[in-house]
Amino acid sequence: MDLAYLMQGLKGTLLIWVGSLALAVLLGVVVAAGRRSHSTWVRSIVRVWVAIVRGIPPLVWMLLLFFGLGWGLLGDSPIFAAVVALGLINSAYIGDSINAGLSAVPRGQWEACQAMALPKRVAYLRVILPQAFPIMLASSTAYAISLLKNTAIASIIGANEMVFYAYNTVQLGADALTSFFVIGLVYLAFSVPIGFLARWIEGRSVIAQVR
Amino acid sequence: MKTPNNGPSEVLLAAQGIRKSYGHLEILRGIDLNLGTGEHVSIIGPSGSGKSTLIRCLNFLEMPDGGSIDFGGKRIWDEKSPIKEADSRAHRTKVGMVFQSFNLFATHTALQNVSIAQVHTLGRSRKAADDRSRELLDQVGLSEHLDKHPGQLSGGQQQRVAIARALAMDPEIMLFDEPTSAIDPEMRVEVLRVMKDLANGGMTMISVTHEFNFARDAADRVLFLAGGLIVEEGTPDEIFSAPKQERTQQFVNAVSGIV
Amino acid sequence: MDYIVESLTRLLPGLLTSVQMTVVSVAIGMVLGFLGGLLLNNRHRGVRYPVIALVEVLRGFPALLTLYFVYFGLPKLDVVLDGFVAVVIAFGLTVAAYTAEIFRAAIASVPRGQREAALSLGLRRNKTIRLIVLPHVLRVAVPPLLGIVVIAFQGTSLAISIGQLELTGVALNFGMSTFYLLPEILMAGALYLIVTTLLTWVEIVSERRAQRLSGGSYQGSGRKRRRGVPKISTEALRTTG
Ligand SMILES: Nc1ncnc2c1ncn2[C@@H]1O[C@H](COP(=O)(O)OP(=O)(O)O)[C@@H](O)[C@H]1O
Ligand SMILES: [Mg+2]
Repeated sequence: MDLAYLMQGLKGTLLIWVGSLALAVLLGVVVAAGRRSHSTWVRSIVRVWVAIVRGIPPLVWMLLLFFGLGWGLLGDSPIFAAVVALGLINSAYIGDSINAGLSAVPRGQWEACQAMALPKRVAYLRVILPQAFPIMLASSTAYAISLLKNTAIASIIGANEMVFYAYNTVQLGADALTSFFVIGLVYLAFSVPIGFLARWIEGRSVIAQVR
Repeated sequence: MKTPNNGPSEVLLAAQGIRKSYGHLEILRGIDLNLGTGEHVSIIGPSGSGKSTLIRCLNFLEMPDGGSIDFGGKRIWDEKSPIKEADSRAHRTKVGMVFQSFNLFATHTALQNVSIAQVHTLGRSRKAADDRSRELLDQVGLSEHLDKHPGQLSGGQQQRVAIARALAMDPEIMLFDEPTSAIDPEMRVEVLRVMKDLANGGMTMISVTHEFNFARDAADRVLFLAGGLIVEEGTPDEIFSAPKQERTQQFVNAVSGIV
Repeated sequence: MDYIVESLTRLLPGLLTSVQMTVVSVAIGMVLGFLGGLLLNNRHRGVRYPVIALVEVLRGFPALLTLYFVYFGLPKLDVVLDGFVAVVIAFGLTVAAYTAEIFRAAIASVPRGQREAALSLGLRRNKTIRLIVLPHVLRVAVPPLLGIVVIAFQGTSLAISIGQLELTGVALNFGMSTFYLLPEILMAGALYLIVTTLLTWVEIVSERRAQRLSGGSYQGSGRKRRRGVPKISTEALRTTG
């Protein structure tokens, strides 16, 4: 088994992962803002958007973007199509965990800010966000891990990531059990430490301690 | 005080020298507790003094480490002869237990909660069980809530279902572990009324409680438990009005709000 | 309009295959997952730890990788598999890993008082489990399990990678050989969306029912009952990769 050859795909995997994560966070902020909007219209649009984004499997999203919707732009690069597809899907999840983090801050904290007539910006930056952040981060991390695993799907549309390389070596006669298992261990090498980190952050959350 | 029973009654429950530790922590350090048929004993004492542990030892939800327990004149447990699963189950059917946190079966309606053990422990027919359950739920003032789930009932209502559930087994003795502590003050009175009726009706009872007025009215004897020992024991009047031990006096004053 | 009808007659058999894959792999996964959940609650570390390791590995692997592992790897051990069988074994294992965690949490969520109350009423052990514990576990576990069903259903789209003609496979197969690639994939996407939305709706309803266990609907004043039913989130478990 040629480990060096297998590992060539790692770059592609990380590229898709980091790229789609960045896109997901960016759009996620928009989704969260929409969820918390006072306008019923905005909230409904966000709800429909989230339902559509989640209701279609990642592979189908990738196919749509690769073969059609992103014609010209995304059609040349499977990696780019995968980044956009996974970014769109996960914007819904990240958006909801941002929203949930904000909602988890007890109402009394808001009321105390108002009682002291803190400007809204200060209240957000100094009081609300520091409490909400660990919660957002902990749940977002779970999505980040599942996003990492979903990058594997991009191999089906031909993105040069780890599973793609593993698949090729196997087609060329490498041992399937070891090749795929080794690749799996690489995923674990990322997801297990991140999972621990998330639990640690969550454990340190002020809100979790108060309860 | 409740009307005294006529004449000396036979001893129903006799616990001698009950000891229990958790790890190095000795919670019960030799408790003697005798209860005549029809008698009602209230146990008072500071939080963490082992009241729950004691009462749970009496139906083997906790296994004591030492001592002996006689029930109905028969030795059912001592430290040398551990009790068998079947025997502890048989014992528990004769002992009704009411928990501080109600512990109603969350997936079952009030009626089902009261019927379930009649059917599955006593082997009554479903119809006979349901009839008896309706009767008991009516008795505790809940005939309009038969089909509600515990989540739809207030704390006071849940606890009355729990009492009906225990009574449905036709127990020889009822154990109450702070039955009103988890209930809003204004909802307690209904539960206490049910308990008082039971005591006056001749039910043999042990109640752990912080409701001194209830104990005064409804108990034959009061035990003050502290530091794993029975510090003082007497009639409600003796304990609440003229305690001999300073420790008892302090506790009674503190709970009554006398500084 | 004609196209839509035509396309549907092509795609619906594919959807049926997807549903069959989902049903079989979820059935396999739930049985194994329930056993796993029991083992994860076992007192002995010697039992718990190997199961934890297995669950973590299966959850950490992308489902596609597990599928390749089963489909291309097992024949090396002289176990030759039909594509459909490989799919349901691989996804069944993945589903099992996720449901094991759900059942573990659901079993652990049954308050101790429920069992104690059953004991104090003299109920036998097996009856306590069947009449008291199991209904509670199911009520808590069903909503997140439905979430897993959604994930499994969407995950079957990966079966195209080993040449299975499920919904995505049928759409792609036809689309590639005609000019209708994009519309055909859009049609498939719409079908996934419809099924997912229906399942999600059932999930929400069952979740409301589960919340009732914790006394959500009692409007009385006063202190909250603390013995709530924790909501087990599957959102964070989401993986179709
Ligand atoms: N299962 C247990 N393990 C360890 N310690 C316990 C356990 N149950 C009770 N305790 C301890 O035993 C002591 C007495 O508890 P309990 O009988 O509940 O007191 P009370 O009912 O009088 O408030 C407390 O300090 C408590 O922390
Ligand atoms: Mg107690």
